[in-house]
Amino acid sequence: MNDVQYKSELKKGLLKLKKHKPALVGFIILVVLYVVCIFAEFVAPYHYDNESRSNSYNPPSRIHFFDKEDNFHIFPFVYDYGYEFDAYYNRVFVEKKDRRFPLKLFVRGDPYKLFGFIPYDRHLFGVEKEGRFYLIGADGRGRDLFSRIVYGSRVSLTVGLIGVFISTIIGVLVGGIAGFYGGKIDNVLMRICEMLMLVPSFYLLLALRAAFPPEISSVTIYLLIIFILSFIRWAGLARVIRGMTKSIREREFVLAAEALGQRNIIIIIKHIIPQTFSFLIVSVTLSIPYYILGESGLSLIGLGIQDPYASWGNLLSDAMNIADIRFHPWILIPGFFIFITVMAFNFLGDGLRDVFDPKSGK
Amino acid sequence: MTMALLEIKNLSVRFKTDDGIVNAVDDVSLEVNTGETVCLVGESGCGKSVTALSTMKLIPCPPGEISGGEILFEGKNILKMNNDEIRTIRGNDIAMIFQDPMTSLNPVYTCGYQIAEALRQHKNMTKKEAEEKAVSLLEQVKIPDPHVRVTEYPHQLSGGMRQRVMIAMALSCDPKLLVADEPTTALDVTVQAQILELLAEIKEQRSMAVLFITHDLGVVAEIADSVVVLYAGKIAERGRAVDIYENPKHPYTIGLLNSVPTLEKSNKELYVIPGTLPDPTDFTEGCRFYERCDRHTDKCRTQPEEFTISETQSAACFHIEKS
Amino acid sequence: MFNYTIRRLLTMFPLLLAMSFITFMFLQLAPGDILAPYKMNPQISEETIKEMEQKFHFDKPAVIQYLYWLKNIIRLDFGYSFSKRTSVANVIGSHLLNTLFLAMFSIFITWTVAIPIGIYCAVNQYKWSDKFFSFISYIGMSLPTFFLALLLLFLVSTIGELPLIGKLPIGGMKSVHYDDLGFFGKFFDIIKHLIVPGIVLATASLASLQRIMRGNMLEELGTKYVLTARAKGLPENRVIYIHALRNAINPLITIFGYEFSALLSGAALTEIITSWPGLGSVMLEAVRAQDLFLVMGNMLIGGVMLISGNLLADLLLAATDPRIKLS
Repeated sequence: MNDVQYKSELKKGLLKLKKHKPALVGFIILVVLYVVCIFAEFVAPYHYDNESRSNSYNPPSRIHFFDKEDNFHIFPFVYDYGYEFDAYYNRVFVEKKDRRFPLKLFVRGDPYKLFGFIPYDRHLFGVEKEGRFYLIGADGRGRDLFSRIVYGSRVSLTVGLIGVFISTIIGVLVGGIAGFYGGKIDNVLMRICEMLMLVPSFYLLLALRAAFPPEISSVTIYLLIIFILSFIRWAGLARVIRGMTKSIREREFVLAAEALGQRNIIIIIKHIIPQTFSFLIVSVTLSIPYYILGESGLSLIGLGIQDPYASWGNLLSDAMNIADIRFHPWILIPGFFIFITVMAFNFLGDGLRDVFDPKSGK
Repeated sequence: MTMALLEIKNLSVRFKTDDGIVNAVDDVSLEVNTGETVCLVGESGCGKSVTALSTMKLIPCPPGEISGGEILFEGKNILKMNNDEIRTIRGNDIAMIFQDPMTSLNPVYTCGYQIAEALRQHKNMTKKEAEEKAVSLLEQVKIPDPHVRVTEYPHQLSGGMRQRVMIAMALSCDPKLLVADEPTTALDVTVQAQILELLAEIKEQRSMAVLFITHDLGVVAEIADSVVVLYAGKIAERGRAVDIYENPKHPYTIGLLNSVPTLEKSNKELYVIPGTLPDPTDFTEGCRFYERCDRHTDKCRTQPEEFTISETQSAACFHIEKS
Repeated sequence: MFNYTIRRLLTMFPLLLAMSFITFMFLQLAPGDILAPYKMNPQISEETIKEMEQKFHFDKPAVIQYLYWLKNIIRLDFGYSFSKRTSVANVIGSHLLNTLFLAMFSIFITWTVAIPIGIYCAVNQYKWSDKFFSFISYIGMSLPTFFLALLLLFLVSTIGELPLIGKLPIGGMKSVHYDDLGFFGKFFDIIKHLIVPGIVLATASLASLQRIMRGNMLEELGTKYVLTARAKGLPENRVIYIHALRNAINPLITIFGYEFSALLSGAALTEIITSWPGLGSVMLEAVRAQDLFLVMGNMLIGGVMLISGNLLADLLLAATDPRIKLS
């Protein structure tokens, strides 16, 4: 297809996509999540490391409009919390109703650097410094769970993008070369792919993680996780691309390019691979959840992102303590974020598939 | 006059599709008498298969819908029957064979099993009895080594043999009417001839009525007693075979006959009816053949009824030439 | 069939060889000493440590170590687990069965629920119930297994007693009083413990299997041979179950095999969260302790199960579809 045709196909496709309701919903959810991710420091009332041990497992702050004398205030407010012990020596949180902390927008709070270099200290919402506002509760060290979820989105949402980028590039190149040249190269490359696909992936994940000591910096772990997950995933893509390349290769425009003396690698990249784009768009979108789940799974069992950094997976590791979870169930909320994100990608991927690649799937 | 075996009266069938409502069959009436072969002729998409499927109430609803008419078989209206009643007729009094025997036979069961199914269902035979009858049926349709064939799977047989198996399956319960939906279209010409011969023999032996759907006028010439020509869901012309071939009156029928290549016309170009079928979701008012007809006038903007030409022939056209 | 099986089993070996080699090399990159816990123990003398080093060839280059490991494997000696102080074969053997139990239980749930629902949805296409099940399937497929596990455990811990089953346990495989129970008591105790991890594992595959079943059934119900069957006057039940289902379920047989093999390693995370003592839990502990031989042994068994599952799938397919000839 020449450029003009291709662009109009794209436009047609995008218009069709808008009609697909689930895909639209998924897209909007993802846009919101990624915007929050970019502006994490602003959206989160507190820094992810901001502890307050006396507020360990503080329940979500109740929002009031009426104070203890039943006076109405237009702007909602919260009280600070303290704890007492009940008859069974359990810790119970009680509101300290002596001082009201109104909820404000654009509050001054923990300082940070927007985009890494603009110093700023205002946050989207919050209360004055002397009070603590827990939108959905606190974790074991009194850190605001909502803030940590917002910061955690940075890890969980980017792992997928970077990982899928890497595995797609490798998979497409390997598949393209194998399909184009055929013969021995094809055989060898496909055997390697089969081998990789036959390895139990979670075990491999653990084993590769084991190759590195448990106490390495979280940044290294982050890169490592991406590397391992991409390493496992590219083989499946390569096989499909190889099959597609084999059939595209026989098409006339490819033979024409060869007859004109174009170099093989250019043919692969310029002519063959663009034909696979409709499949790739769908495949990429539907692959991202695997990375998110892979990272979350690892972090959940302690082999991924470590404290004090936050990822939705390691926020859930608190929940592994089942006996205690009854008393602070809000710890499970990061799981919903993972769920919603995965659903959103699945919705979007389904919509894209209906538009671009309707032959696959039902 | 004795009652016709099958009487289709003003049948209308339509389908709901994403692009709109398709009126596949519009006010179609025809009759099949005992022992008679009626050929229903027309291009692809003219509604002949839908008509055929309607005789046994096999149209899937939704998306299909029988929006009008009656189908009387031995006097009883099929369209009003409930599921149990219609099932005693299907495969038993009326049997159907389809175009492509490869996809019309279940690939995971043997031929013998599939033939025996109808027998066990309608005639209450035991497994053994039905199997023996299956072998004898295969003999009747002239399949060599029927004892072996009975244990084979459809993919192990050739196209012609598969069609014979289908015929055997259809004949198993001695139906009074055989509905054949383009049974020879998917076969090559020599096999086609054999199958037609077989059908003619069987018809004779059993005095079975046949409703034969086809688009191939050569086939019609060989086997038809009467012919009904369908165009875009409506009847264009009907008559005895000899009427249609020697004295066609509807422009469409004439066009069809002219399109058949013969040895005499070998020097000229092949004749083709200009234009294509109209969009089935958007039929215009009046005669549906209007766009492609060389005789159309303003009068043709209203739907022509079927005008009687003789006792046995009629055509739906305002411009029937007197011969 | 027999020849085909033998040939497939033979191709297993080079694959396992390659996989184990790659894994072994990767693990060798790990800094840290497998004998560290022993070295730090003052009761163990230097000579003992030197003996161990020689016995297990830790002083030799990586490739040589791999060859020694391989030699042992061929003699079915999986090596020694330093973290568990027993042979690797012992550790794996005792846990392998548990993982198999869990996998089979989960497959049982998946198939007995998904197939009927899939058929029902296909036969009742366009109705509300079909749309409802579609929606639920979607959620089931998107819900992360570990999250579902946590949610279920949370639910179990808060709701207390269930009518027939009593209190559902929140992890592990056996109750504290397991040994006091009679034979049936023991059996039901294990089943009770299987429920949560079984449901967790079953959910995702259930959801996707149901969709596939529905899709296949819809396709088969639209074929010409189903039309022929109806034209023969067969009752609708026969058309659905004897004709359509028989064809619709063929592709699913392959899925069954692959699902089995995927489950065996995919169950790992769920086992860890629900404290089910299977190979997954073993793998985690082995990795944490950097126990070389245990990790290798586990990987190998995992690979064998995966390949066997695939082979099983292909054999099943050939057995059920008369059109397929094994080449």
